[in-house]
Amino acid sequence: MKPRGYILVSLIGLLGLSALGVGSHSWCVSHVRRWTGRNDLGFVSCRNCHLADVEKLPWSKPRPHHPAPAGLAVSPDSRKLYIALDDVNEVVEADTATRQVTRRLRLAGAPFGLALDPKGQRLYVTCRDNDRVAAIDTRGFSEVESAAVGSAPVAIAFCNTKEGERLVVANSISDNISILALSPLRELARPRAGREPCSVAVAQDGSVAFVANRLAVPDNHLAVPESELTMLDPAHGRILARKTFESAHLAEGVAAVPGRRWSLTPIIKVRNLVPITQVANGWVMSSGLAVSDEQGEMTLLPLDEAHDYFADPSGIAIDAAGKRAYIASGGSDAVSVLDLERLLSWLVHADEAARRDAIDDLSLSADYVLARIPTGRNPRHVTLSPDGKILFVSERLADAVLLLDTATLKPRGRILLGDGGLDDPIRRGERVFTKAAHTFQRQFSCRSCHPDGHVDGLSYDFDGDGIGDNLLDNRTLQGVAGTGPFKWIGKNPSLEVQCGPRFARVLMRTDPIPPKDLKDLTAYLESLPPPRWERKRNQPLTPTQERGRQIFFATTTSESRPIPRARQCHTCHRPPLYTNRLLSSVGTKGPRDTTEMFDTPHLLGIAQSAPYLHDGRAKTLEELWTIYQTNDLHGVSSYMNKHQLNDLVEYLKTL
Amino acid sequence: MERIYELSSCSRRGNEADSVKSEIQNSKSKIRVRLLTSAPTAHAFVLCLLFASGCSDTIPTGSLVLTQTPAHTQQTHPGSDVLDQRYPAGSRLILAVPPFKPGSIRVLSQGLVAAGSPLVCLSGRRVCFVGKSAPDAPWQIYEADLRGGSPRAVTSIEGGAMDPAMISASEWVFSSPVPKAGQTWNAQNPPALYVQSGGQSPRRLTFGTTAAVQPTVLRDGKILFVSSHPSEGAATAPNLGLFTMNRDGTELALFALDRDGAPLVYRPRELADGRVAFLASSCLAGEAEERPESVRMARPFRSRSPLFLFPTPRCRSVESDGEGGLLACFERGSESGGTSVLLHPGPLPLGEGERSALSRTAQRERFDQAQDQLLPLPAGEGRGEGERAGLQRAVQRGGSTAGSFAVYRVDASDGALREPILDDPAWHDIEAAPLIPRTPPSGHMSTVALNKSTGTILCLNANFTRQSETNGTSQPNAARIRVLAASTQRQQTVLGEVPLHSDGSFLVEVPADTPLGFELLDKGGNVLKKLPPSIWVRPGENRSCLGCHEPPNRSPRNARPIAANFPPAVLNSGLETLAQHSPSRSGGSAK
Repeated sequence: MKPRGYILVSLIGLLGLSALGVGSHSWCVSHVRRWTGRNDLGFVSCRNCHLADVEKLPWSKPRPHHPAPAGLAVSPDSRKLYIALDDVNEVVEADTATRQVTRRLRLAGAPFGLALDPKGQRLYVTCRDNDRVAAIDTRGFSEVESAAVGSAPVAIAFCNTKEGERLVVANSISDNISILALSPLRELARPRAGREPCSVAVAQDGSVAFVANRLAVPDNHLAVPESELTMLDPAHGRILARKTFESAHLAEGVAAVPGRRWSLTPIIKVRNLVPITQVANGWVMSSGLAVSDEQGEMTLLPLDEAHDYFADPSGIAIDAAGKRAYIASGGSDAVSVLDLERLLSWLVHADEAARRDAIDDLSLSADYVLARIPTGRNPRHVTLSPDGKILFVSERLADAVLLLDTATLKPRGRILLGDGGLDDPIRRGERVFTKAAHTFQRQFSCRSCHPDGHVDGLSYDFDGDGIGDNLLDNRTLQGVAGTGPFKWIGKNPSLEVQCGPRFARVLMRTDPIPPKDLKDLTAYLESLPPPRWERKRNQPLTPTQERGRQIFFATTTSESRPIPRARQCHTCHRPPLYTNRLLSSVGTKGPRDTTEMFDTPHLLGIAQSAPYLHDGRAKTLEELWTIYQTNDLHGVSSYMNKHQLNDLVEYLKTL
Repeated sequence: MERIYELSSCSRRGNEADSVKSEIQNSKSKIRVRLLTSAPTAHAFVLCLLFASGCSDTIPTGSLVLTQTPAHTQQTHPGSDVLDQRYPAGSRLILAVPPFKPGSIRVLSQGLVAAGSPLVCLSGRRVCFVGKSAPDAPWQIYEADLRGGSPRAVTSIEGGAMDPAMISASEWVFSSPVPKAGQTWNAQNPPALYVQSGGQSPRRLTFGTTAAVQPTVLRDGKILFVSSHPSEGAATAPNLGLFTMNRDGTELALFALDRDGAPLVYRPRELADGRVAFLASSCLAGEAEERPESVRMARPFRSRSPLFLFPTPRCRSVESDGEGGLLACFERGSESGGTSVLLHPGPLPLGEGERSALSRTAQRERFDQAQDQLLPLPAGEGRGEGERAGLQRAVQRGGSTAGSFAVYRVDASDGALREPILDDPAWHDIEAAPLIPRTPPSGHMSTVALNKSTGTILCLNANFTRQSETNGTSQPNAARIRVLAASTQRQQTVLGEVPLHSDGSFLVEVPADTPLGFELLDKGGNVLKKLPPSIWVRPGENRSCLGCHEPPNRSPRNARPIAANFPPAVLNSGLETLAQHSPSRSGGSAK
């Protein structure tokens, strides 16, 4: 063939391919338009609805594990420290004098919380991922007993009551508390807690147990959020009182004041109802300490200072004399030392108005904070040796335990458990995620709104789009990989854009996260699986759930009337991620919203991410179709009876 | 490229900023090409060049940049400006290296008739200062390389520039114009703050009706500066406070000093121990009573106290020495019993005593207690080589050290100061700055939209005010808010009125870069409270406040303001002067 012929054939081939491409694209667009009922779509990809392979997502792949210290317990003679390493499924024993690990025990299920009996013979461990408490004989350092408890137990406390020895366990996912008797280890009661119970403490006399809950129970999204301090009788599990932390949450530690029926709980005082026009002066949130006295009266006091903040307070320890409290601030890498006598003296002399306004006075903490001690990355749990001379601080993202001399407030050394995992981009990303230094005056970290990458259950009013416009519900970051675009209006095509300069301007109000850190942060976010993914995926459905599944995938109503494709659940919430990654109008535009089109959220772990809809107006999944359904725009639900709706919700909870 | 920087950085001291990196890269671009492409011998050659060019000018650790003014100077002529007073003709900037012997200095302001206000750049390798090239020339900001060379002007702004402070390696803030002596706080065209990046034109940051001077940049990135509390009418004496704002002029806020001590303040500086030091004076006519005081960052409004525990000699500057101590320039006393002063050992004790500013009597008692604990040094004993030489020269000239300013280093670890580290009797050593690289302050992503001409103000509750403002009475019960503006001639105009919502909140769109004030009106139109035009918003800024004269360092209560449920109110009453607008002004404590 002559060269001219080759050129001709090539041109025809190119034209043919172009025509095929244009035709395919046109068909794709019309296909999606036909399914979604949207005629405004200009570009879509097959990947919007198809070709999503969960096995290929970052969170589904194996990742490096690190010996990050979680719960701590000290032997009665102060010579041994027990450390839970949830990420590597181990509990270790360390010599506090030599600061070396002496024994290791493999314990499946992410051992997290620790409690030691007064004789130091039994160590009780909550295994977060397999919902049990294990008893370890400290002499042989082996597991000797185990008992099932609620979902995701994370904190545990030992106490002597009139009825005998008890363990009080906080179950963070099932939102309840397990009361266990010993010898043999068995569950006696499982009373309901607030939302995400995360920490436990028991009064010295065993008369009352305090359980601090991490999240506010969803309510009207324009109401002041309240999280719960559950007070119960540890002997029987009877609830004594349910007190609330007003406009406060993320309580990850609680301690009982020796000799009193008082409890101290580090909290984050949140101000989500105030438009975020600034972050200075704790405009978005600040750290505080909730003091609950004998009468159950709650007073919130600030932990921050006027121009310096100590973000993400979590673990707390109080010395035996009740004179000092030590609080770890995970976001600021510091331990705050509080003079409790001064603090209690202030409380005694303060009138009701002063108590009420105390948390908003950022200069108050200088009255009772004695010192701020720098630590390694992300201090979370703290415990004191029985003689009160050493404070142990778990530096979670440094894989170390810091030993602080409480007399000099100087470090005595560290127990090194690992190398910090700095070669692992996911670990580095987690360090960025938990670091408050990326925010103006170190006020908060990513984790302050996304504890463990999940939700805080609140809605916020960002001022970037105008004061009062477009209230936004905080969305989970667990299972976020592959679900872009991001933001409720789908404005951000990638997590880098979502977390980059835009975020610095709107929320952090300081330098953007540097590109290298941003890359690590993205790696960390994409590594977060949906809650309890591994357990759920292999679980067979119950009959109720199966009926719900059929409703979810239904193409006709129960009366055999066809459901338009655009309003079938699985059209927009397309498996396996349960999103088609497109904007949709489901009739939820609010009075100050500037659009009616909102991103279709993925449904993995939806049961744990209440509230719902773009502004968080729906407290429960049921309310999506009972209160906030408009003309069957959010799926066709008008034909469902109460039982069918219940079935659907039960199915959604399995995702 | 990266490799070159690493090589050079290991041969130079400290944590170099980007400017250093670019400097190296620019000056050695050819070498860079060779380094990346050639054989090991070339690498060695490059290393030699780098060391030869970089290390030969190494400045010893502990060196200082110092402002010296002649000890015996003529009176400044009438009509001179504040910098002429502060730095009379002949004032100079020098580089002094330890052990500060005579002859071990280098004049950095060579060719200028006067200079002062040294500011060591973040890299620790250059210094900025104010200077004037001729007696009648305006003061401008100059930059000098510490390794040598003539200073070069980096500003050429009409009316002159003063008080430079570094925001980043290539961005600084300064005050302009330079006011006439004694007119800083009542000038028709008061000095404002400007920011300048590289070779770009200065951008104005402050738009108040009173002067904004003496900025410094805090570690959190905020600009701290001195300005006057708003007052109605021409105040006879200003009452100064410390204010902060972002580097784009947004979020103006009072930082400290709310009419709680001597009314005049100068030279605020953030210290390493969590305090902000400044000089305070009650005397407008001069600097005769300047005393170093401080506030704590943790509670700036309830911690004003003396910085040092010693009877107040005159002080001209206090700077952090970068090693936990301070550099301060004090006036030498009569020397009858030698000098002996004590640094306050860390933050002041907490508690009730600190809740209110210390009374003068209490301060004096504390000074006396401190004095009792100190044993004065015999005159001349323990003096260093440099001071002996200085004394010798003073004797030769028939002069005396008395009345001369000297540089002291106050060691934070032992808290005691025994002798000046530098004192040349022929000069007043008035401003010392250590040559150390510093960590750049935090940045700020600007929200200013220069294509807009307005911003918004959200007030959460206009009736919320601090207790001291109510004189024990209940909170005001206002119905409307009147928005005022001021022209450069300080003539007030009414922009309009906005009704308050039932929770006291309002949201209003206001013109940007304009001095704004507010009047709180009751139902009858009586003025309950007044803030004269003194604040501003930048274009596109969403500004918030808790209330009207609300307590400082206060976080908002978590409640959604009703005003946030509505679009911002638009002021449309047209501009009219306050005199034309004739509201009933009785019954209010307008201030």
